[in-house]
Amino acid sequence: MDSHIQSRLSLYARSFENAPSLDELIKIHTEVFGKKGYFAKLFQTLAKESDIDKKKTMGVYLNTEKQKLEQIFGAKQDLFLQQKESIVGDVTVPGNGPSLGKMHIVTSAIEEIRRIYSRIGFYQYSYPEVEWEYFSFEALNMPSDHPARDDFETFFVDGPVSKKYGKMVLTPHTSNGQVREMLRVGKPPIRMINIARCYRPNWDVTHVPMMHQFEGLCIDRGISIQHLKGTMSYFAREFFGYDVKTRLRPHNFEFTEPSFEVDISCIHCNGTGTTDKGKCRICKSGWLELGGSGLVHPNVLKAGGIDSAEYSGWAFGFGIERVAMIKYQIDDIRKLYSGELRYVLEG
Amino acid sequence: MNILLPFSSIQRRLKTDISVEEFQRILSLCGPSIERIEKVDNDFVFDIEVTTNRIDMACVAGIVQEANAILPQFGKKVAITEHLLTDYSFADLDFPNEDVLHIENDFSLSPRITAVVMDDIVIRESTAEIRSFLEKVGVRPINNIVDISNYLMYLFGQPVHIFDYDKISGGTLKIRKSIKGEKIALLDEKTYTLPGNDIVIEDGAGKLIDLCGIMGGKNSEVDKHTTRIVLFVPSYSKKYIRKTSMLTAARSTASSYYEKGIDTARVEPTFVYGVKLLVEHGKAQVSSRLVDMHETLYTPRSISVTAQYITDKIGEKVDEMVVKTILSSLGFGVMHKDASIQVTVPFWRQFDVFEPHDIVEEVARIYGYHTVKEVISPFSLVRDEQVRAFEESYRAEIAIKTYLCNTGFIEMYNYSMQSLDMLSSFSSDPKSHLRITNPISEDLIYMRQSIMPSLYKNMLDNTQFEHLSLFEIANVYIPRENDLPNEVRTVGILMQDTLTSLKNTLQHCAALLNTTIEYKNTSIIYATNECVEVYCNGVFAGNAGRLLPALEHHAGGQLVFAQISWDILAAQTRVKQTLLQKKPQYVIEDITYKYKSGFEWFTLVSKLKGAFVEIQNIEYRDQYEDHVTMRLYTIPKKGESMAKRCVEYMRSELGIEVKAK
Repeated sequence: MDSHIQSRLSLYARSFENAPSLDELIKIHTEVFGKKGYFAKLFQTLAKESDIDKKKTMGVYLNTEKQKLEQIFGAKQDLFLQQKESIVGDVTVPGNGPSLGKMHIVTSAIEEIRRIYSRIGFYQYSYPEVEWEYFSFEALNMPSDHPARDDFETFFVDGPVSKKYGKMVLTPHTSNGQVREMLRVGKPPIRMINIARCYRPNWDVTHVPMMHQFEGLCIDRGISIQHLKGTMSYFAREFFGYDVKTRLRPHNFEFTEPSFEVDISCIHCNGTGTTDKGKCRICKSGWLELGGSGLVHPNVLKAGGIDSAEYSGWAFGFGIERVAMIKYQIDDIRKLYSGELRYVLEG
Repeated sequence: MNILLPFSSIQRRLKTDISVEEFQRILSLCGPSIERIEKVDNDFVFDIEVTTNRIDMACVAGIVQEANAILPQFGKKVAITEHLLTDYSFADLDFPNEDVLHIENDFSLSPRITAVVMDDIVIRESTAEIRSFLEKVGVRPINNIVDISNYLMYLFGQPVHIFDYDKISGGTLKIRKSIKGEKIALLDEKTYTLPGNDIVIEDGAGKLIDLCGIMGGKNSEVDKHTTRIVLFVPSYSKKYIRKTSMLTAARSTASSYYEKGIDTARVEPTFVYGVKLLVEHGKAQVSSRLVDMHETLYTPRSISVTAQYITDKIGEKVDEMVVKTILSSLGFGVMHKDASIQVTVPFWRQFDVFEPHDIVEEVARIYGYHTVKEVISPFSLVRDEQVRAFEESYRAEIAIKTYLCNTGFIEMYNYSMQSLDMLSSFSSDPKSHLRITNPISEDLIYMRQSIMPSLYKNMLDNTQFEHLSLFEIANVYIPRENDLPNEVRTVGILMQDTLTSLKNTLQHCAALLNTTIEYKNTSIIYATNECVEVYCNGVFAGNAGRLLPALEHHAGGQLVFAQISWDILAAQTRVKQTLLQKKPQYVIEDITYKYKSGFEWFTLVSKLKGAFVEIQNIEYRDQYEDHVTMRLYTIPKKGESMAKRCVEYMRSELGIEVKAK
């Protein structure tokens, strides 16, 4: 064999082994194996060789040497690729994150409530906010001299007056949907949830002139207090936690009879009425009021064209702000609609 | 309303050995809610919530009656030792035939009045028992006479007034409606100007001596020199009292009783008990005939009900014996008649028990809501296209809200009412808006027709934040003739950014809803020329653009807005069919042309699509100065370039300059 070639190849082998960096290694690799590299030249020369035997021997020799060199190169390259460079700075610093917005707490509460009721077969529907007196009051067994209907309790709207339904009001509760729903479906079963804005002319720490209520209405054959109680407890456990207890207390609403106030055991003091700082500030002796409920009054069923001898039902109406304040611990209801971002972003 | 009562005053009339905590827990479950207990000396004070329909419970007599029915259900023994409402009657007293009191009544204002004159009063401090009672219920003791009138109210739930007889001219009391503007100085040392139609009493000299049902007049007050008094126990029509108390802001415990409606029957035991106390503690002597003016009094109502009816409503079996025991312990009369029970309603329940379902409530609550089983309402599914459409729209709304919030938008909830200022800054005509007739604030008067003024106000209120992007999805209220307004669910967006950026957001929203958005030129009074009409799937859906510098100026930055009808957007949402659909092989080509007025994007696209059926879709790619690049998706006949034909068409037919490839 040509000793010149031999020494040249062993020189390359050493160069590969001693290459100081990956870049240098690649450079040498190109010099050896590139299109215009050393081996390319050797094979070009070989192609011109006329002695067949010599050509054959030389060919075998060159291919073997080429493979050897490739192996040496490969081993060295692996060495470089597995090397871990030391870095400058702290890799554990946090990222900046995308600038996220914020869903309003009322939307979150509405969505959660809807989901909970949807699981037990209640559908969601909506009814007017600007409503006739009839649907907000008369149909709900509240005659024209009822205190809730005066200027101090209900907003009136300067619009057309209906001969049939009276004046236009901003509905003070979502219960206007009760008789509207009965008339819409014509015939039970009804399993309705209505979540909407309602309005009352009060503005202080615990009242805002606009709030959201969610209303539930269930009408069918054989609906009793048992069903109301079961459904209220189901909601309270799903929304506030499985340990929460529910109680119904006698109350009074014109459109239900019997009527109940629904209470849950206080989630802050676990229903004890005391915390390590003394008397619980949130609840009344361990109980929190959620809202009103009851069996639908026969007069209301009648207004909805439903025979109270055949069907019965229950209804409830809770303030979203109230349940949200309990669950998310907001102390001042006015913050919810103040439009001040420091509160909106806090929620 | 809430009322304070000492436990000892109940124990004095109801024999029971129950602990105070048990009493609280048990009563709250079945009757009045005892919200809090406070220990005072050797006694406990209850803070009791009483519902409007059960004002009869807001006194010692009422709580004793409730406890009498409730405690036995929990295995506790009880016995009433003094039944305040039924143990006392006029027959217990003697009256001389002296005619020194002249009362002129209007029964529409005062359905019943009882009064008597008492002489030889000795004014002094009340006994320790009465003073302690009053202090516990939050009333400041004054003297034995005044204290008795307050004490009676808490025992019987019947307000009582005592006048100094010698301060009443001619011994005459005339009950009448006030005239607007009349003035009266009351016991709280304030002078009130009356709104008119208030119940007042004038004496023989025509001076006002009482604002009825609310507070007595300063000029007829009992003081240390008083020797003759008038014990005055009246009923008043609740609607007058409520109106007067709301309009004058003069409030008292008496008014909170009267405005809820008290029966006329309890006047008698209160009066009789009062005379006895005045004799005992004030050395007084009855010195006039009894005045008792009334029209027809309550005749007990009878209701027929069956145990089965009650069982059906509760959901579980309630024994007939239990029904009877509960009702009679509440003071109802109970008789058997054929297969049903005849229930007689006592006078103190005449305003809230009328029909069989009212009886259900009485039985159910004493039987105990806490014992009723919890059963989830039976499942029911019905076909309802309206509900389906509503729920799909709601789901889409949540998807859009989620998208917006995840890309940096903050969701706002603003009042549905706006102020005149808010409308003015957007040059909106207040006359076209529905207006609240009894607003409580200048800020909340007009039912909004646009969300923009609200979001703009949010921007102004939060200038300490930079690069704000706000949105709200809510109803706006468009008036209609002879009908309720059209409540249009609307998406409002206001952001400190460029219109291009806002369009990107809208485009993504449209894509999420699987619909398309196009724009047309327009002009909006509160926007710059950089504003457009928004079309969704070809249907007009709203506007977008940049606010006038005058508005931007106050907010300190570039503001772009969009206001789009959610209902239209949601209605144009299509269900995407992705499965088993063979996707056609489009030829994709781009064309860059110079914008020519009159051929805005929407128009140009319609023209091209109209001219060539081969065009499947045209997408916007880019705009640099006035050069716009569009992308064609076509299915041409073999070997044909639609781009070439489109370019020819645009050049020759539309006169648009197209950049050569």
